[in-house]
This record gives sequence, structure tokens and C-alpha cells, in this order.
Amino acid sequence: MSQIEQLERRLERERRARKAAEAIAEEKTREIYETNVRLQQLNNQLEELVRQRTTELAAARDEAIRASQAKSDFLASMSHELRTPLNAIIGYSEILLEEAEDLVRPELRPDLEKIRGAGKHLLGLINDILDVSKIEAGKMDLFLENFDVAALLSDVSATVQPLIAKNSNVFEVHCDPDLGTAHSDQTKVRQILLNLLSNAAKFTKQGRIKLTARRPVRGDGGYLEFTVSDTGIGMTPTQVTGLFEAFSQADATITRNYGGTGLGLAITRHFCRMLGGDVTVTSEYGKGSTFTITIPGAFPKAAMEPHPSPPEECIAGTVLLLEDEYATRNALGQALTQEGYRIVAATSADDSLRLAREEKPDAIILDVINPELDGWTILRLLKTDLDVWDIPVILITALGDRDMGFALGAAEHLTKPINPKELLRLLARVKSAEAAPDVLIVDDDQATRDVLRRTLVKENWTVREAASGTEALQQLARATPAVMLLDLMMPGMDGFEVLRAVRQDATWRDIPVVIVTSKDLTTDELEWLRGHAMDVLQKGAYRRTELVAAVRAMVEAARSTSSRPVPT
Amino acid sequence: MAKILLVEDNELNRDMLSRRLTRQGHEVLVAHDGAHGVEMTASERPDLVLMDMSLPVLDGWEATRRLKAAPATRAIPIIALTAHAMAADREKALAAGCDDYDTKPIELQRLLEKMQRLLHRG
Repeated sequence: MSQIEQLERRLERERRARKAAEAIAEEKTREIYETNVRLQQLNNQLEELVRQRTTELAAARDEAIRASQAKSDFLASMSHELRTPLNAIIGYSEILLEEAEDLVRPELRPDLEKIRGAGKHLLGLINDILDVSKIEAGKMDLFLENFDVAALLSDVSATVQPLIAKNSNVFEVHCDPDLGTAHSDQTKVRQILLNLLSNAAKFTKQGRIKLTARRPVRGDGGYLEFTVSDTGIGMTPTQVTGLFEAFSQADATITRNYGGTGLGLAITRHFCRMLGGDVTVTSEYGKGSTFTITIPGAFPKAAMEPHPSPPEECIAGTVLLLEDEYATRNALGQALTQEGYRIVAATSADDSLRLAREEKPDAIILDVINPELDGWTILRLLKTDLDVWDIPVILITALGDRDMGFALGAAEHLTKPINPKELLRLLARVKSAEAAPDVLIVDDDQATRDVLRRTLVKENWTVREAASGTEALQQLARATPAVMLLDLMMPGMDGFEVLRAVRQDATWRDIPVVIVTSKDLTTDELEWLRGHAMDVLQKGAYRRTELVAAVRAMVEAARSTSSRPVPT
Repeated sequence: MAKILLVEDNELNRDMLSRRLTRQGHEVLVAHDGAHGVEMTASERPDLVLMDMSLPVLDGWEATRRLKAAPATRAIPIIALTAHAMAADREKALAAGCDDYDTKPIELQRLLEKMQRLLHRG
């Protein structure tokens, strides 16, 4: 074979090899393509499933929240429905007792007393059951007020006197002279004392019942220590364990012989703990019992009903709660704990920042309406601190006219759409008499500025405009207006910042500022707020659903995205 | 002894309380709703008004506010009858201008004492 023929054969072999390789490559490529297509389909299916599942869960959750609300409504109306006929039974038996007396028919008395007694007993049972239902539904509220402790004790003593006398018992009251005023829930303290005293009266015959009250000083407000002791039937150690559990009266024979629901002490202990204290008991069978209640004299600020933290593995996230009002804090804490979030609470600016840094929560809930808490300052501090600025914040605020304005230090607040007459009246009222009618309009929306300008110019106001926070400050520096109309939601430097700058400057501090917002936040405004890692909820009007949804969304968003908008 | 106006929408409650007060020697007038209560207070000038708080047409708080705002009826003492000792209800009643409050279920002695205190005032 010549050299050429050899080369030709090799060339041919190479060509065939290359073609084979290309065929394989093509096949592999096609396989990859088809696999990708299948993966894409599977992915779509999976996403669809996830979406469905999420919708189902959301629906289930909403249903649960609805059920909870329905339960509250049920409790409230049941409460009224059950008590009304009972009040009639008790009331009419009392009327008949009086009339029997008038008619001098003493033989009717015992029967009527039985009806009345049974009615009162039933009322007590219903009250207990409704209390327990309320507690278990998490709907038991606190109502804090100042009250005179000695006065409460004498009121309680007078109420319980006939019960104690019924079993021929002797009643002794020993109160420290300087019990002073307490700041707590008076109605609950009364209920606690009445429960313990009526128990003592019930289980003691021809014995002695003693009520003592002291106020040992420990921390601010001190402590109130009440003891209720009796020389009654007492309890065995077995009977003492589980004494404060609901539905476990010491034993069945007790119930038969002495009546009662077995709920009173469970309610008493729950109330003591709600108030920041507790109740303990010592007892000796056949000799008597002593119950000791300890309650803070001044309700502790950051107290919250003890909600068990979810077990480590199930924690959905940690939430830092900055809310001064007990009722709100408790409601929020409970709603979130039920969803699996661990709650950390703070009630001051310093605590807030420290806890945010230490705990690195997944979300922060901040009340910006409470004057004592200065939520706006805390918000500013959080957003400018390098360690914690990226933690999403949910603002709780009342978006009612007055509150929003005053919370921001504005003189007045207008909601869109703006009524021209109202605007003029307000401006006239707000600017001082001598000042020239010079107004600065700050709004990033051209159309809004036009409308406002036209309205005001017609009434001989001199109008200046600024399309942003920065421009606003420039305009302010140029000359001080008599009034400033300020839009809250602006890109870049927002209305909040402008307001803060104005308040902190000596020359500008006294300029009346009218802030303008929409009555209900528009989707744009909500988006804007969300973009600033904030969510805003209307206090009182929000439902737990919204709050929980917001927290969940925040936590998930924070976990999934790696970058957040840097604050300007 | 005194002319009492009872403003209560529940028939049984109205019957019970008016009978027991009449037995105590008082002259008892009744009104079935808040608006009626305001009218009757103005026309009858009772010595004391017992006002249930949850009333139809006009609720007890609004009725109280109106009575306390009008010079003709301002001086007539009003005792609010609130349900089940809710502290918040009590505050609300006093804030509306009630001179005192009592809780249902009514304990006659307790209510009579409060009434006496207000009737012997002024």
C-alpha cells in the first residue's frame, strides 16, 4: 500500500470515529435535554403541590382563628344567656321571701330559701365554668388600677361574714396598719380572696378562720402577702397534690358532701400568676389548712402570662416583642407562642436594643403608638445599628387620624382624598396669626402637589414645593414656612425622617406640620413600608391572623433572601 | 319616700326591681329603653335614676351623657347597673357621668345603701 492509501484509510477511520463521537454527543445532549424537561415538569408539579398545600394550611389556620373568635363570642353571649334566667330565679325567690314576711307566712320561708340558695349556687358554678373557659381560650383580661388594700379587705370580709357565720365559725382579721395602695387588678384580687375564704368557711365547722395581710417591702411596690387559715377538715398530702388543677377536687366524696366544681382553686392560682404572684398551701388532715397568696404591690411592667415556650425542635422562630400595654403584649405573645414562636419581651428602649443584639430575633414587633415607649426612636436605633438593622420590624400603630399625627409630633393629620375646605380651615387654624400665609408642600407625587397648590393659591397662600425629603430640608433652610404639608410615604428620605429633622432643629421645631396619608394604606404604601422591612398593623383592628401571617412572611423572607435593602 | 325612675329593657328585671323598691316605700316609674329614659327623666324629674347600661335605641352611657349635659336634668343622680362586675364597665359608667354604679345580680341591701347615699346628698 502506498503512503497515500495508508493516510486515506486512517483519515477514513478518523472520520468514522468522529461521526460516532458526534452521534454519542448528540444522544447525550438529547438525554440531558429530556431530563431537564422532565425536571422542569416535576419542579412545576412540586411547586403546584406546595402552593396547594400552603393554601390548605392557610385555610386551616384561618378556620382555626375563626373558631377561636367564635369561641370568644360564644363565651360572651353564653355568659349573658346563662346568667339572665338565673338572676330571675334568685330575684323572684327573694321577692317571694319578702312578701312571705309581709303576709306573715314564715312556713314558706325554708322552701323559698332553698330555691334562692340553689340559684346562687348554680350562679357560682356557671361563673366558675365561664372563667375557666375564658382562661383556656386565652381570653381572660387584666384590668389594672390603683386601689386601697385595706378597703378591699373590709369589703371582702363583710361579704364573706354570713358564710362564715353559717357554720358557727369565728372570723379574725389581722391587717398590717400600712397596707397602702396597690396597682393591680382589683376584681381578681377580690375574687381570689373570696374563693379562699369561702372554701375555708365551707370546710370548717365551729372553728376559726383567720385572714391576715402584710406588705413586706421588696423592690418597688413591695409585695402583698395574704394568708387564709382555718381549723377545718384539712387535707392529706395526696389531696394537696393536684389541689390547684382544674376538675380535680380533693376527691369525689368531697364533691358530694361539700359541693363545688373543683374549679375555684385552679382559677385562683391562674389569677395569682397573671398578677405576677402565686399561691401556696400547707395543710394537716383533721387540723386545718393555710393558704398563702403573694402578689406584687405594683403590677410588674414586663410581666406576661406564663406561656410555655415551644420545645426546642419545634421553634418556628424567635420574636422580640416591644409593647408596653399588658393586654396587647399578652395577646400577641400568646398568638405567636401558639404558632411555635419563642417570645422575648422588652419594655424600654435600652432593653430593646440590647435584646435585639443578644437574641438576634427573626422579627421584631414594635408598638409605635405608646408615648412611654417612644417606638419611633427605637425604630430609628434599630435601623441604624449594624448588628440588627436587617431584622424585619412590624409596627403596631393606630392609623386613626389623631394618633398617627401625634405619634409623629405633627400638629394635625389629613387623610386623602383631601377636602379643600377642610384643608384651608385646618391651615388657618394651625398657622399663627401674624405669620404670612406661606406653605411648603412636600410630596413626591406631582399631581397631588398641583391640586394642593391650586387650592391654596386661590386663597392667597404663597406656595413652595418640594418633591422629596431632601428638597424639603433645602426649602426649609432657605426660608421658614408658616405651615408644612408633609406626605409620609416618599422614596429616599421619607416623611418620618423629615419630621424628625424638623423636630430636632431649633428654628424649625415650631413649624406646624400637617401630615398627609391615605385613610387606608394603599398597596403602594404597604409595599413601600414592606420594602423598608416594616409592616404596619392597625392596633385594635388587626386580627391575630394578620399578625401571625406578617411574622411568618417576615421570617421566611429573611431566611430566604441573602441581601436586604440597605437603609439610606 | 322618693320618686325613682328605673330604665331597664329586660321585663323580668324590671318587674323584680320595681316591685322590691315599691315595697320599700318608693314611687317607681319605668322606662324600656335609653331614649324613653331620657324623655321620662326630663318630664318626670325623679329623685334618682337607676340606669341599666345595655339598652336598646340609646344605650345607658349615651343616655347618661345626655342627661348630665342638659341643665334641667344634670343634678338628678344616676346609678348605673352594670353586668357582672367587669371593671372596665365600671370605669366606662363613671366616665359617662354616672354618680355611682352597682352590679347585677342586684343585692337589694347594697343597692339601697347606694341609693340612700345619693338621695340624702344635695
